Amino acid sequence: MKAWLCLLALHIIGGEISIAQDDSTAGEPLFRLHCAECHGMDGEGGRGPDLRRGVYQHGSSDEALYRTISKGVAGTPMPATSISDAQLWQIVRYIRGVAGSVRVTVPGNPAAGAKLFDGKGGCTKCHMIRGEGGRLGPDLTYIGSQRSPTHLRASILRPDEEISPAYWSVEASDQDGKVYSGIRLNEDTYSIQFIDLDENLHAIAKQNLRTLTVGKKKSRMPGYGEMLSAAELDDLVAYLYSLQRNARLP
Amino acid sequence: MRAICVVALAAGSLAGQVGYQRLLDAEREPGNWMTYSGNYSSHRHSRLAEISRDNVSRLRLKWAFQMKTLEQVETTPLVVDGITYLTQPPNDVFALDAENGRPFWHYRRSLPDRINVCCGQVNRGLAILGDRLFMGTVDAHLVALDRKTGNLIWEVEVADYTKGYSVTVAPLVVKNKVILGISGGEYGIRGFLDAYDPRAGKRLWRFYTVPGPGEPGHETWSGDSWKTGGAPTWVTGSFDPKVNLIYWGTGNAAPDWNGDVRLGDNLYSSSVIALDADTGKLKWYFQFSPHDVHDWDAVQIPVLVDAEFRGTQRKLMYWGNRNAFFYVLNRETGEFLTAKPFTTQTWAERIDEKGRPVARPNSDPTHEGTVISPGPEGGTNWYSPSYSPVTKLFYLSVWDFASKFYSGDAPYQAGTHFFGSVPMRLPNDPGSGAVEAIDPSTGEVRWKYPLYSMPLTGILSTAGNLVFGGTLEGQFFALDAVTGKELWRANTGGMIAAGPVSYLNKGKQLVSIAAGSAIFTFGLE
Repeated sequence: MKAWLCLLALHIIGGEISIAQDDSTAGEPLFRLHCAECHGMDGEGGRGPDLRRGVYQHGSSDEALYRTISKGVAGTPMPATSISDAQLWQIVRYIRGVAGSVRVTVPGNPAAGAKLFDGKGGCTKCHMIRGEGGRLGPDLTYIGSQRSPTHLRASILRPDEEISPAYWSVEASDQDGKVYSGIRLNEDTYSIQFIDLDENLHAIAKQNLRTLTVGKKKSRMPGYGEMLSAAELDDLVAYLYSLQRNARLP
Repeated sequence: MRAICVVALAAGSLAGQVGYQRLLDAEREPGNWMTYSGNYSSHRHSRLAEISRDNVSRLRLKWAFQMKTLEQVETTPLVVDGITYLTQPPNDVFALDAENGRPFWHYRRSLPDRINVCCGQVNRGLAILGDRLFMGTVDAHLVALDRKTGNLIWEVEVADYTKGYSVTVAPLVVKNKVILGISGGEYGIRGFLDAYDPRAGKRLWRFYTVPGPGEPGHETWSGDSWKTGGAPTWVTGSFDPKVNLIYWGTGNAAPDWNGDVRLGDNLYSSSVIALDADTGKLKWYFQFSPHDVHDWDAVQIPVLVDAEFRGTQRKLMYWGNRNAFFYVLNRETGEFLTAKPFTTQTWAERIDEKGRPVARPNSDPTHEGTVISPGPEGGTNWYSPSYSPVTKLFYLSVWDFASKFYSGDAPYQAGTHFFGSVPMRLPNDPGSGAVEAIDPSTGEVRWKYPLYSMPLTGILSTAGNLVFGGTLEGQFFALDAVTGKELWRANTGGMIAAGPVSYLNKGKQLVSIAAGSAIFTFGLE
């Protein structure tokens, strides 16, 4: 009963305040067990979105959070969670506590970051934002809703650290000696589908390939540590983090 | 009069009816597929040879039947005298003309709103006896249908579905009994195997796979953990009429990944049990994974073969286990004979001379996570293996992967998940699959047909020296049973999570497989 009253209070007041610590602590070990691997030990994000903002891509109400946790998010690594209702609501309450407790601030100038993205960084060659840009890397239209500033910074500096299977690289050659380079889109025992560096789609039977290498550990994206100054890096991160669902572009 | 009815139903071979004698002699009529695994020895082997290595390249689609379901289709159809009987998940039943897939009737079952099934509201098929079909339901009932109309004859409650009990297994008719297993190992049920009277659904015996106070094996559960011990029976077993024993696999102990709350070996979880077919009394058991903490249910199909082993003719049981070892047991006594891994495993140093695994250090789940092969779905799982008496090889779908196993709190609440954590697959390491042919006399892998993804397809072998299997992406293929070479392939376009069957229609051999939300039937052009 106490928990339901607490949730009710959150509905009325919104995400402005954090709920009392004793109400959310029950969910902490559950969160760390089931969620922290992707969302960070304290909800700060990682492979999964930063949960501290209190605004979520797939719905920000308690019911929406419950639904997202229990059903997962199709087309993303977020799985359905098979835990009891009681545990699930404890996790919801824990996330509510985390959401109100930390104010996320990002150094840097988003507008300057946008210029870097389009210019010096050359990011548009591979990344698309609202329909503009390349197709070889992840679409970044809402990346600020999906990744924390810390994770964005790490991805820019060390892109090889984590490569989604959706962006594994392909190097192949066929029986006629034709060579292919691109990004793997799909694969089974008998065929592979990929987009080449000129953004042409290919579907090739594996029996027609002479060589095939799928790169899982080396990204086609370079590390930007030496290309950008510390201030520029801050600007770029600030820009990417500003790319929130329903946010205005600078 | 009552006694006469029993005789007619159980042992009769009236024209068109499926009496017990026909089930017993299933191998004499390979034109029909009358039990989940094709015969009581569970070979999933067809003695038909019209489709062979020489002509399988001419295999073409004859008909397809689309189901209206969003659930995973795991059904094995029964085909009897020109009629195909199959389940549409969750619990509808169709009778189709085996010639063209046109339905004769459709049984629709209404289900409660909230069903507690861990892994989808699935169903694996029917059993047949006399003029009746039998189906277990996800709301934990057993129903009997008239096979000519689909009319409901009777239904009985097997257990309380609100507490996490459900039925997904295809029943097995043995003599005058319908043998039925239970699902719910992820809900802290107390598992059992039941026998029902086919006439009116009266329960004739129940064997609890978790022994109660005073029963042998009860001491293998600490405290009250036996009350929520799991050990479900969700895949169809086998029967040896000569020794009158039913063999059935049991699932994981509950909670799955936290063994600290259920100290001990946790009998009879992750075991094979041998029960007297008349009384349901335990004759012997063999536990593959004592005190399992990896979710390695032993719900694979017990494959019964009479063969020479180490110079002696024996009644054997072959078992490709989820824990990644292939076992050979003496099925008269349960004596362990040998075990050998058939895919990557990192949890056991060896299996000792009694058949007990010697675990490697640090192979149990931890709060921080322990990486172990195979992952929780195992080196193989519920999908059927096949044994060919022609090649004397054992065929199975294989997974090769690792997962990180965590251990966590497991508060029990009736009707909700009782896990004690959730394992994670390794990022950037999706694993791979294969179809393997194992020589049971040595445990050696004779050949391996590698697959990109980990398959959910059962295997069918045939007297045409073919092995049928499939992929997660929906490719249905035929391999040379001797060499493993691919001879034919068709894209069904939907995930295959069921076992193939073969039978005759108007004298022509057909092969059927459920894929996606449909069943596809192939024959020579």
